Amino acid sequence: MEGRVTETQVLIIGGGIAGTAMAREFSKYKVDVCLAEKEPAAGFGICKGSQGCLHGGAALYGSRLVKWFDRKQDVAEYIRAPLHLKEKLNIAGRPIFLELEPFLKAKIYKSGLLFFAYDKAEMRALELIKEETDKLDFKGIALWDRDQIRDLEPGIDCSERIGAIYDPEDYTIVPTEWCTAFAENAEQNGAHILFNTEVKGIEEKNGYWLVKTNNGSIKAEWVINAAGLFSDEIAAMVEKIDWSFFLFEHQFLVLENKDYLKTMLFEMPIPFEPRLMIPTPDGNILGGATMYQHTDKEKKDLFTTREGLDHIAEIPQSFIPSVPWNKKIIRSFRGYLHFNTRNPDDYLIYWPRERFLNIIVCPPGLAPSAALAQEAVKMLGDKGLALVGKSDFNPYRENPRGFIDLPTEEKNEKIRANPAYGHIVCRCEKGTEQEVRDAVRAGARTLDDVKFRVRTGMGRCQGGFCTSRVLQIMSEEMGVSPLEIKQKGGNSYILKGETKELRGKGKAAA
Amino acid sequence: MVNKRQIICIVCPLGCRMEVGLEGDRVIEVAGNQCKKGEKHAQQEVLFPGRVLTTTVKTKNPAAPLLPVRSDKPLPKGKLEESMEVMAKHTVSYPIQLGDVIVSNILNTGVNIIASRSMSKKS
Amino acid sequence: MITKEVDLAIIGAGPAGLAAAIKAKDAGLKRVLVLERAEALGGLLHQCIHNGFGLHYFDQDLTGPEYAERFIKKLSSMNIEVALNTMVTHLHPDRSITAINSDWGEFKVLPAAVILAMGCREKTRFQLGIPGSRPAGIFTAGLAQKLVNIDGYLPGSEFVILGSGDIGMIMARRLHLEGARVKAVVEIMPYVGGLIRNEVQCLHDFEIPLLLEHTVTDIYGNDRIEGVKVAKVANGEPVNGSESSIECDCLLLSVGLIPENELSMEAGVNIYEGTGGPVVDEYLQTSVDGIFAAGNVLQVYDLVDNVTLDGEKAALSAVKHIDNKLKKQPSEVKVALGKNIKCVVPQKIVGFEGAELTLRVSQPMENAELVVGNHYKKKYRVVTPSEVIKIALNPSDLSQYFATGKLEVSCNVREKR
Repeated sequence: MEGRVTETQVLIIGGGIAGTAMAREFSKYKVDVCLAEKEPAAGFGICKGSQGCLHGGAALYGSRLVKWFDRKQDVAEYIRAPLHLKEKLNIAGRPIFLELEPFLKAKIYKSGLLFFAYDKAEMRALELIKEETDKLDFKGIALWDRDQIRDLEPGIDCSERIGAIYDPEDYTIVPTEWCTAFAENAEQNGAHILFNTEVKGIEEKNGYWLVKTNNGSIKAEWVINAAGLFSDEIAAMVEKIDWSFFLFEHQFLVLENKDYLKTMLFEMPIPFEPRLMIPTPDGNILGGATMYQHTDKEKKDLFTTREGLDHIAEIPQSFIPSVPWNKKIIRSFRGYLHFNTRNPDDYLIYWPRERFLNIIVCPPGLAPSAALAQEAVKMLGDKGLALVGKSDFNPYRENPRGFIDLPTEEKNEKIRANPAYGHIVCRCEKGTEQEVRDAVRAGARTLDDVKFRVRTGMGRCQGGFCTSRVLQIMSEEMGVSPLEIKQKGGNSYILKGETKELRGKGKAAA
Repeated sequence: MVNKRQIICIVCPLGCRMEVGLEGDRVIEVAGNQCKKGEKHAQQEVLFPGRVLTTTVKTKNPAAPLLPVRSDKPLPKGKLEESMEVMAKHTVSYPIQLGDVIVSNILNTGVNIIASRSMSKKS
Repeated sequence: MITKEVDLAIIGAGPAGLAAAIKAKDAGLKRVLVLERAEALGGLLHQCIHNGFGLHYFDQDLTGPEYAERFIKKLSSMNIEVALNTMVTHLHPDRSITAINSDWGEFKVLPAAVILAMGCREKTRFQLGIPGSRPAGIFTAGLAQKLVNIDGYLPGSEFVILGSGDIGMIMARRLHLEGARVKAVVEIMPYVGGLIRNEVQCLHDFEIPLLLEHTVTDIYGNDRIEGVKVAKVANGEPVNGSESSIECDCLLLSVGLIPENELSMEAGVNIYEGTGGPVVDEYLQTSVDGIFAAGNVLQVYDLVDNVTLDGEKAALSAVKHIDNKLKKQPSEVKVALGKNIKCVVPQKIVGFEGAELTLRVSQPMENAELVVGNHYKKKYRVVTPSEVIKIALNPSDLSQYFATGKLEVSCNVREKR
């Protein structure tokens, strides 16, 4: 594998929410930092299929109840257990996201959370949750009865739900948007973000790590393994590991939200059958989910299934019966929750070698990442990495998207300077030609990457109108024929050939 | 020796399934039709099946790389694929007027392939 | 912000919008503005390079581009303002429009009347609930048509087409003629969704396999589609054990059109579930005063000729409305759906000038009799859901129904003698 050899001080493997948050954090210091991500864009691993929740207090404790709902033990044991590291990081990390919003200009939606109970036992669980969250100073969490629930969300069917815990401070994000925001701001501040770069092997050398990728080798003083679903494979390149992953899938519907729902809804009346409706900052609702268990061999299987879709098809209706949800389907997808066998309930963070840090996460992964990033910097600092702050660190992300949401005057100013802002190419989500160009200039190389940045193709028509136009613009910006543009990674070319290619050669190509 | 051919009528939504009896290249009988138009169609379809060919042809105009074209009359059904081969080798330059002949008397059928739209230098 | 005061704003310059603009100008309206999101007038006609257009309106067999050019030429010779590459982002309940383009930035239009002519979007695989992977290589038929006929690219070389509506069958032929291999057209019903003419001339002619009473049950392939699973269908459900795989590198979906009424709903226009388009009266006026609808945004039509006629009708109504000449009766007649009628436009009759009903039946029927109220009967050798049936009712016929407020349309099998 001949190719350019890059040298860096800190190499982060994995461009998900943890890796990109870390890259940005390191870029605040005079440290040479490099991030290697195997997909064409940030967050295209687990984050792409994530629910997008920044957990509040009720959700944090509520997640613990996944185990309890087989009803074998006293629920108090689960709820009163001391905070895990991931939960502490979540509590510290979430306010950081709120602080960062105006700087990185990535969206956060304050959805609040309603976590329902169907019977007395579940209500007791909610009461215990309130006790714990009170101790931790979470504001505004309350136990509600049916009337209070209906006051907030009149459409909810309360015939069997007897009450809920309400947490006003629950938030949702679009994870890939934040990954991109972190990565772009990191890059602005000197970090090297390498996409389409997959780590193939790691060798321990004298005083550094030689990391071999499909795009050449990288010499790094320090390596941080933040490769998410593939962090087991990366860890195994350095030592024989005694842990592995077990996975839970979740299949979701993406539904149109025309003011049907503002609050996140969650319940698990049947063990291992969570039911969620998650309003996203993009004006949709994620409705789901399945929770079938899988082996780690299946981690690349992202196809939805007949049983999965049939299962989740009924969920939105069961929450809000008055909306014809089957007519509001935009998309369906499958993602994963992964846990490690050594520490099934928590993160696994350790140094298998000097200057090689494994950060093996599990859900929740989003809110904690902002605090985890600070922790990682501290950990390397404590072990000897010199951390001198950059006086010229710019916390503001340039070129955030969302042209259509700007006030008229700003829009018109931008159009005057750049007429391509006035050319909307995506009818459903109102993405403009200039934003597509900007996305490519900022590093987008695939249709999905442009899609996740500009939202072209994410609406009702799923690219029916915009695909042709976006391909054309990308082709111009990238200087390649549209035939060379892919949907996502690997072999996902969108087009096959030119219209006249198969004829004019004699027999048609088989 | 009477040959039987099956034809589905396309004149109206009934889609009558007809059977046409042929002796050599003479139509002896038509059965299964419910109207005269159907009978006529069956005869035509069996003896001289024609299809209007519509396709595109490459242009030298990068802003509009293809020009839609059509045959000005039905082509013999059996000549469609060969005609496509002929058209694939053509490139036209603009300006073009709707109706301009792109290929005259294609494959000696007496049918012309003509432009289906106008294309100015600007488009 | 630039503000344009006009008599009539038309959203969409496809066949409905073009016809409406021309008719409105012809009828004497001074300020007519057409707002079109694409780079050219004509809408989807440019990519419909096949023939079959204009058989009724022009008594000729034209291709889509030929049909479009007639209207585009006419429009260009009249004083009609056209804004291309212009996206309407909002239609407000007071009829005002917010739109964006590169020349005027974000601007407002204040029209005395609006004609909705936005057409349809295509149903996606997600709305059908087809499970499986989400690889590259899955396209709606309309998008594939644009890529092949306008942009000059083939989206694949071995195709499976789900849905035998007209556009699916036409693309089957198109792709075959361009040298690709169409391995199957898969249709859930026991008959094709489009015209028999297309079944014969697109599928039979080229021996393209047609799998009736089948559907796609799975899609596989990681980065790019590698194949689909198809199964026989009984009672709307896949039959266990009947699944087989078809390898392909491209799946086209021709599974339904949805009238694009986001803007209409924003303005508070009521939508009729039977068509997915606005509830309208015989003037094609929606539930919002001064907003009219024409073409595929109103209901999915079978022939473009009908779309053109809609546009003209809406334009004449809009002109009358602006002149305060749309006279309404003190009460309305609701059009009710009887046996075997899937949908009817208009859903109500309000005026003195008679009405033209367009309807579709739910099931195919041979030897059918269409009954309208108690004064009209018409025999049909066959009726199918794929064809729009038109019935003209004159004012004298209709007057009796204003008393009861109801007019029922039904389709029954004729009694044999």
